[in-house]
Amino acid sequence: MTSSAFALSVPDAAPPRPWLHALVLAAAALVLCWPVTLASSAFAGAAGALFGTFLAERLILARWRLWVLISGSLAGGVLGAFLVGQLLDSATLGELLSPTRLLWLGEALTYGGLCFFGSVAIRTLAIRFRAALALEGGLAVLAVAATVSAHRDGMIARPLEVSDWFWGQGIDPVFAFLGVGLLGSVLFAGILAYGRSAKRALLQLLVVLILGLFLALRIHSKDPTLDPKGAGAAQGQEGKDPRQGQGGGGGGQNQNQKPNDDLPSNGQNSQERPAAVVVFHKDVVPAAGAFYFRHGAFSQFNGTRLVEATIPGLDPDARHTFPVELEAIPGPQHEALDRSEVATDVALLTEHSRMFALADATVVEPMANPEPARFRRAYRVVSKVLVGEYQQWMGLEPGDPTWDDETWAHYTQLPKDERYYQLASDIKASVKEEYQDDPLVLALAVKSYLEKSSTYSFKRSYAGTEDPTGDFLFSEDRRGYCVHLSHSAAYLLRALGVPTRVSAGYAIPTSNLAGGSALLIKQGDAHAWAEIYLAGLGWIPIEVTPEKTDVEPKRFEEKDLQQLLGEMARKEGRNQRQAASGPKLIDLLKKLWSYVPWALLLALAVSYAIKLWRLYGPVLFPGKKAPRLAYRAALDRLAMFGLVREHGEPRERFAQRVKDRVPSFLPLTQAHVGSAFGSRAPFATLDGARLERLPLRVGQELATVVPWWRRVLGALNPLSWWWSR
Amino acid sequence: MVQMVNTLSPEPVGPKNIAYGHEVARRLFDRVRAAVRGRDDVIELVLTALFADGHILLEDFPGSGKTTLAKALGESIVDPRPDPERGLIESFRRIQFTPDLLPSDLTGTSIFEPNTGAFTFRPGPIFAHVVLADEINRTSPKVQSAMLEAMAEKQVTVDNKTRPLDALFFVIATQNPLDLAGTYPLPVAQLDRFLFKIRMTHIDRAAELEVLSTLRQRKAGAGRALPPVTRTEILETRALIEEQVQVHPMIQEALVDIATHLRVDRRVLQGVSTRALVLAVPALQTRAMLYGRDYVGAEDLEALLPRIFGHRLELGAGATEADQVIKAALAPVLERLARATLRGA
Repeated sequence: MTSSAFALSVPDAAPPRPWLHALVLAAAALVLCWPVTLASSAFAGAAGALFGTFLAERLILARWRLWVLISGSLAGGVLGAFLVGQLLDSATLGELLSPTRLLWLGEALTYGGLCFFGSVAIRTLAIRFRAALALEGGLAVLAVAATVSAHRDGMIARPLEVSDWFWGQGIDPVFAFLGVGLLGSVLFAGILAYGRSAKRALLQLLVVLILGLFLALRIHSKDPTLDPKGAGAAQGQEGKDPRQGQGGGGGGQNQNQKPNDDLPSNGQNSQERPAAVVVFHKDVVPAAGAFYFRHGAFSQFNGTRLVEATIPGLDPDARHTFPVELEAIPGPQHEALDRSEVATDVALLTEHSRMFALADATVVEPMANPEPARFRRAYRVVSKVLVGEYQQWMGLEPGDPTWDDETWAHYTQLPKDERYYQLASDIKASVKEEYQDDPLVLALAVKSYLEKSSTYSFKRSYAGTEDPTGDFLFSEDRRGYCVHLSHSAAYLLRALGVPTRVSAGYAIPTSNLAGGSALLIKQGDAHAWAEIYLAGLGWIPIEVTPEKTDVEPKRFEEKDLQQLLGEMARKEGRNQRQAASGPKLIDLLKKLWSYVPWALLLALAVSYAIKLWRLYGPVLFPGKKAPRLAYRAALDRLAMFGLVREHGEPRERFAQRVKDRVPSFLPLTQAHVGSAFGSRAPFATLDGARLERLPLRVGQELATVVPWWRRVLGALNPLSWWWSR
Repeated sequence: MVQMVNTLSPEPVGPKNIAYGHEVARRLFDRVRAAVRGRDDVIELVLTALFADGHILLEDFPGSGKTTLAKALGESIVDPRPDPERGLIESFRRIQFTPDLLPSDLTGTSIFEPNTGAFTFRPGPIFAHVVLADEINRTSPKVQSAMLEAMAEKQVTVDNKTRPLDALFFVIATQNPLDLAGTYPLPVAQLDRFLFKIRMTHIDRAAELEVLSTLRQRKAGAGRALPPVTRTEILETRALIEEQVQVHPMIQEALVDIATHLRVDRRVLQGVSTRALVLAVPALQTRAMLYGRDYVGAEDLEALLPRIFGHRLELGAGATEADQVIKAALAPVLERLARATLRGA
């Protein structure tokens, strides 16, 4: 036997699958266009990609140079855009169509053309160079990733078009998005594997599925919002990291050195991250115009800054440990005037080290987590919210009549710096004489003075000095943020003898409720504010909001998310059945996952058994099917070391190909093929050798030509027989 | 063929054995090879066509050795029968086809003999074992038809009398693929009569050097010293191939499947005919015999089908290489065939 000059080398030609590629590109175009244009134009884009793919299949047959095709399609795109522009600008068309129709047409033509020429370029490239297929896959992945990326950081309501539908079906869109990603990878793996070997395709799909399952479980059990770095940065940013003792201006500013530098790079992202959702059981309009959620109060001056009171019994209302049972919070708020009792359910979306509660809390109580898949923890708070108008509290005395001198001193301590007293008395002097002893009027005067004379900014840091608040207050332009402003107000009021402290937590404008009863708290809502004590009323917030700012104003855009999370937080047993079904599925998956190692082990054992049986079965138990099984045993031995017949290669030619390395394989092949194709003397070529011994001889011959490490690998490979064919 | 070895068991060589045919082919191959260097592949195909009772069309340039090949083949086949039995059959004839050739120039004609006063038939050059039909596309369709009819029927009709040609009637036709001015190219339907159409490429450097270095020996007739083959041996071998080389049903199925694949291929306007399949079977059997096997294997399909089907396909626009199309049709069928052997009955 010889391979004649005409012997064919059969190529592993993958036949074209235009429909599959067209489908992928059209879907990618649709998804990419959807958020930026009208729905009709997005469909036009998908149609363009579809036609572009089929055109590329035709163009590639025309045997043009690749660069001609690519630059031709790019030029086509530019020309098309120019023509569309001309068409839309033309007066006649404007007269024929209404402006809406004109816009509709222009968008459809633009996106359709863009996707058309884009897909022509991508497809022609990918047909000529298989490596460029990655470009296509990348586009598909990008489309999915771009859509789903809005969903990260706990923004589970985005993208609205997709998640709304899933919520409507009662499915958490996280799983839906994971499913989309998984489907995408499976599809892509399918494209890569299609037209080659069914076995290989199956194996790849299996690997992708297992990986996807693994990732899904990992992602589910590890919420990205738990990321301690991000959360820490967000909390520390406004100097309210509870562990850092946020009270004193100095302390806060020291801490703020780093967050301030970080702000441009990581700020926006973590600021937007939802931290908690609060469900109100009753409508309430707070006097301050905002909901203040307190998780700490700082009233003790330690020489440079305000810190939490170390004297027992002070600031009892500033509780920050989570409740384990129904617990009352002591404090002046219980008997105070002008307070309205309201209960709130708080569901935390990120891990908090301190409890926060709507000011001023009277009772806290732990709560069953309404949606363990989503929330970290939940508790109920009953608060007495200050309602009414500030004017009506004019004339109230500062401090509490029960306070002793020590307490008074505690709430009026400040740095020994004359400038505070000087500025305070200047402000006091600007107030009408009849009100100069009214603490509320003085507080409002300080507030108004600071608001007029300072600028809200994160750009300045007053770190590392003796008195950072003084550095801020007595600087020329007074650039600073809530920590500096609240401390300045506190020191100035203390200088005037008004008992003041700084509280920290979250402050949310009442308008965010937007008519609903759920309130979303984001990490960016962290805040610090000054509070004065009025007899009979308790602590009331004095908010200093400078008129000038160099920070982009916050806008509230998460109404849907707020509503959605509110609904989830409100479930609480009422909808136990549905809540239970989610975790149940996850538990089942986890249980299944725990069996995976055993299943793999079993599969391993089975495939070793099959391997050994195929290798040695025919040798030990020669029988009627001898030539076929002996040949297969030899074939397995070759496959162990990567010597595999190619697709469409006749067995005889394969034997010729490996003849130099494995001479015994040739007569074995001839015996096998001969008996399969009806030879009268199939074993004549064996030269008297015993058929069932030939596989062993093949193994010995292989051992002499294959390096030892390859032999070890081949022997260990449990699936080597899978590849022999 | 270079390493053509008898791999079958060393049973006694008799007329009823594959080894016998193999030995005949070996002798013939050696003799032809002594005259023609660097064309082993073509010689193999020519022998395949000869034993499969087909004809062959060579597409090549002048001076590529086709006459030498045909002549060497013709001279290697001797006919030891006495004259009357043999008739007027020559061992080798060459016909140069020209536009003014007439059918009777091929078939022969009756000539009036003044001595006897009767017409006697003077056979034309077609009455030979091996006929070289040179530049067959240069002659008129009328002559082409006469030639092709003779090839198909193995007989000619002159003066209303049908005269059989020799049983071993073997035509090697040639045509020049480039110089097409004033020619009558053979249509696909007529190409169907040829078992193979072989496009010969220039031989490689080493072979060409060998041609030059062995020039003197070959002029001296080196091949003639080698033992020839008799006409009877060839006819016996043909019978033996038909009888003894197994064509397994799986092979037949594969053959039909490949033809079906070709017929449904979008690039093919007209697929292969059933006659092509019928002709393919003896060719496959012959190749098996040449390689010393008594069964047709997958490699025979792979090696021969592009040669047999290549000139029978009419391709649509855009497809230029019949080989590519056939390879694409072969691959899945051969893969299935290879797997079928492992599954067992």
